Amino acid sequence: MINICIISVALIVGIIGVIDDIKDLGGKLKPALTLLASIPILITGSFDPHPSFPFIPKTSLTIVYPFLIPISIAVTSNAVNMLNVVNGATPLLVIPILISLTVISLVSNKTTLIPLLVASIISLAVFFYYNKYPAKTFMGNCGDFFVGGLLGAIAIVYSLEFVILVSMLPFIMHGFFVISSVKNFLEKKQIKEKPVIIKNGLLYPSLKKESPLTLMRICLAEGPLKEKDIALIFLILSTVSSLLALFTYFLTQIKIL
Amino acid sequence: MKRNILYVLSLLIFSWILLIFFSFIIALIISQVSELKGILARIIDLFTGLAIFIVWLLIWYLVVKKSFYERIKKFMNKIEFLQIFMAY
Repeated sequence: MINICIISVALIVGIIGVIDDIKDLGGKLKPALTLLASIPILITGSFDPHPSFPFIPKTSLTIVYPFLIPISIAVTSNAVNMLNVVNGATPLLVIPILISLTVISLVSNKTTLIPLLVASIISLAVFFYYNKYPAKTFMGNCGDFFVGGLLGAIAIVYSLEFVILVSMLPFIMHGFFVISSVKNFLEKKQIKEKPVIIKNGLLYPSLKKESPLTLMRICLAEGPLKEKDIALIFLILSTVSSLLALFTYFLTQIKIL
Repeated sequence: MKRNILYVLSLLIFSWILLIFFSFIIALIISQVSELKGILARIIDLFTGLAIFIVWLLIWYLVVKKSFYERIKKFMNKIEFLQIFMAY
């Protein structure tokens, strides 16, 4: 039942992504619509308002927690969408997160989550085969939103909020850099100055002050790279953040107070 | 490429340490609230929510309106050991 709830959330966000692919929803309406995707969780009450933090396994947020659910779904789905900047980025960034969640599910005896995670890993791995550089198939907003919504829903339904927050650190860093440099919610198309320039098959960071600061631009700060190398850096980043998430999970199980 | 990876990884680990530190402080406050019972606990729970919202607004103001990132970058450039680490 709870897995159906998670899939429903992902499907709603995915449908919003399809609408955005067909007709551009804009940088403000899109995050606003993704807030609605949390309805299945709120109706079925599939959440526990006692999130765990490092060294504090149980806290009480009974009043505030339901209000945080729509925000978290909107944040995760839009964060995944924002970082799909090179071929194969989403599968390479999300597969390590899903693997670390599988390990956590095995350790914490959350067996109902394992089939959903394994199915997602296999489908993303197959998709990566066609999406790797030079890509033949693209995910679009629909796929990014679906994957992001899935992660957000798993975090809430299985009380893995803090662990997924840590595993999604590359996405959060990217979002933080973009919003703080652009100072607004803008679509990729609305940003006039591109953060990266392509010359002779190599990616160079833009030296213009107006260009937004992105994770890819920071990756290029020490020198130009090929698109394949950027994808590899994303994979390394995601693997490290997933390992940190695994470590954080064990920290959330320790009670010191 | 090794330098590029080291640079981004150091940022990632720095962000993780910050996240753990701040969340521990927030959780410490919330856990103290959890110890209380009855109407008082409900009121404090609500105030905790409001406090989280205010902190979020403050972060938003500092990040978006006051170019907080630029300030962090300037501050990071001043730290000598980090410069040595980056140079390595």
